[in-house]
Amino acid sequence: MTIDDVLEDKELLKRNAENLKANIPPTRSPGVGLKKTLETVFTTHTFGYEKIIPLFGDPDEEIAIYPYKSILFEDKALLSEHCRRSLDSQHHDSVVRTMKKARNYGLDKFVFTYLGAHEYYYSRSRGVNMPAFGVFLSSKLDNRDEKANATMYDLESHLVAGRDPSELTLAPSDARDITGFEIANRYDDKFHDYWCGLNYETKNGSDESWASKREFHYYDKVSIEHIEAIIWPIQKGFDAQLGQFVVRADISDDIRKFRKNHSRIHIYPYEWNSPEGKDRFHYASFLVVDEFQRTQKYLHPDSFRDSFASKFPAW
Amino acid sequence: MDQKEILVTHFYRRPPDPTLWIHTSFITRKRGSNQRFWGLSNDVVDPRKIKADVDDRGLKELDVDIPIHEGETVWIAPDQSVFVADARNPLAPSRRYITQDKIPNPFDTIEKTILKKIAAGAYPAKDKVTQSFCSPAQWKTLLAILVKLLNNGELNEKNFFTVGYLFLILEARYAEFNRELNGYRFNGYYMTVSQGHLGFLNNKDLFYEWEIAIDTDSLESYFPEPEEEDFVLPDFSKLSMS
Repeated sequence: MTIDDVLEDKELLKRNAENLKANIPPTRSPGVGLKKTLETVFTTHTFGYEKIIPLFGDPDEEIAIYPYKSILFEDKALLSEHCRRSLDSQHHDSVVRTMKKARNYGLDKFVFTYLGAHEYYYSRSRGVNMPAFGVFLSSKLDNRDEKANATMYDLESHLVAGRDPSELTLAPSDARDITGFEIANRYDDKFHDYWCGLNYETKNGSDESWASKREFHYYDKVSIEHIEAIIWPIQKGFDAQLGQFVVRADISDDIRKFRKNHSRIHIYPYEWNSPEGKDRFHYASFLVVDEFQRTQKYLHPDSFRDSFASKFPAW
Repeated sequence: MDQKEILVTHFYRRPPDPTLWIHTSFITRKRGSNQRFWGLSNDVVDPRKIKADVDDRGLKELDVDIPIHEGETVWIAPDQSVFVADARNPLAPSRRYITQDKIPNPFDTIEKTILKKIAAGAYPAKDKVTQSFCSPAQWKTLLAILVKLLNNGELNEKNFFTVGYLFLILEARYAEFNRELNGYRFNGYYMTVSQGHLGFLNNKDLFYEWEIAIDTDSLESYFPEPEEEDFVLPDFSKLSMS
């Protein structure tokens, strides 16, 4: 079965929700606050700053591409793999090597997001990373079209092993509902233990938290109209003449330009550097969701800046 | 990691900053072992990931592995030379040269390829390289190059047919962008692109207006399905240009 078949079978979706919920020891129902948070909380998507690839069709040449420019300034949308391929001949086979299960299931026609903290883009290690952007998408997208859906887990997760994706597919509202039960029971009501896979007070966490989160899928493309906030990497370079780090000029220009055209979207610039990049990215993501789950509001950029700087001082 | 000497084996390539030294990520091994780690961490890297990233050009293997210590990282200098140095000061005397990288900027890559094709006098629409230039990531760069070539005379009425269809591709694929282009000052040039028609105002305030008399209903024939035989170059010499 493909995702299209499953989405047509409303009974199957309902049965999946019942079965998956039954797998969670149902001793406690989520509280009103947690329920409300999960009904309204954003989904997340990550993309990179730059990438070097062989020039399509001419392997002797290579070219640097900038995914963030395509998404935020040119396409003005997150595109599904299928949509990218139809527009962009620069598409190369790195995507084809990954997410094979998702493609076979027909999910290449969807934009992927997590109901959880941003997944780091370039690696799953703190030791190496590249600058990453994290966007927060409105929960209203769930109802945007009939094809919006979720899977209980990323299909590459070890928790999916041996199971058919059709059994794990859910309507978005059921996925949010199940997550509430899961947090109440499996995570002892601790929202962040599910969302971030990391307790910032005890510093206990796992880089594999992506494997146990819900994955949401939106059909074809998601216009940046649906982005509510962005964590934006501020890259610094070392100025040999000044003998100190300074912000790269193009970064500031881009933020200014984007803010001018999209004043509604909250921008949270965070300072990226290679040795601490992953922790900085995760903490920036955490600050935004922490405020949202407590107040149902987005953090004020000044508060974000101060909180971030107190944990990660500027270089 | 334990106290064994750590060596950088690969680094992730990045376009340089024109004036600043920037960090990049790297892969290491311990002396005497072939197991690879992410940076200075103890997280093991899957060899398949290394191979895939090297094949994709994002990751480069060093000819000679270079020692690295805690507190250091890999830097890319403005001239694309690559060093291991203190993570907070790439100019510290302890820095070690690794290699010289060379990533052309997109403008140079695309311009070089277009000039090659103009010189050859043939520019098949199905050309994959050309198609990649028409991607959302590159279309503005492509337009900048075409305007530059038009202005310096390398692209003229005689050889315009070699690239004229590029505008049609842009028009067909990016109708929305083209609407935005009307009245858009592109790198200081006023450009208009509309059905079968290209106009621009160059830096001498001379307005060039060329009509590309192609029946746009037949655009489909310019973009055959991939499984079909190679596309035959349309007879652009029949285009009228005024």
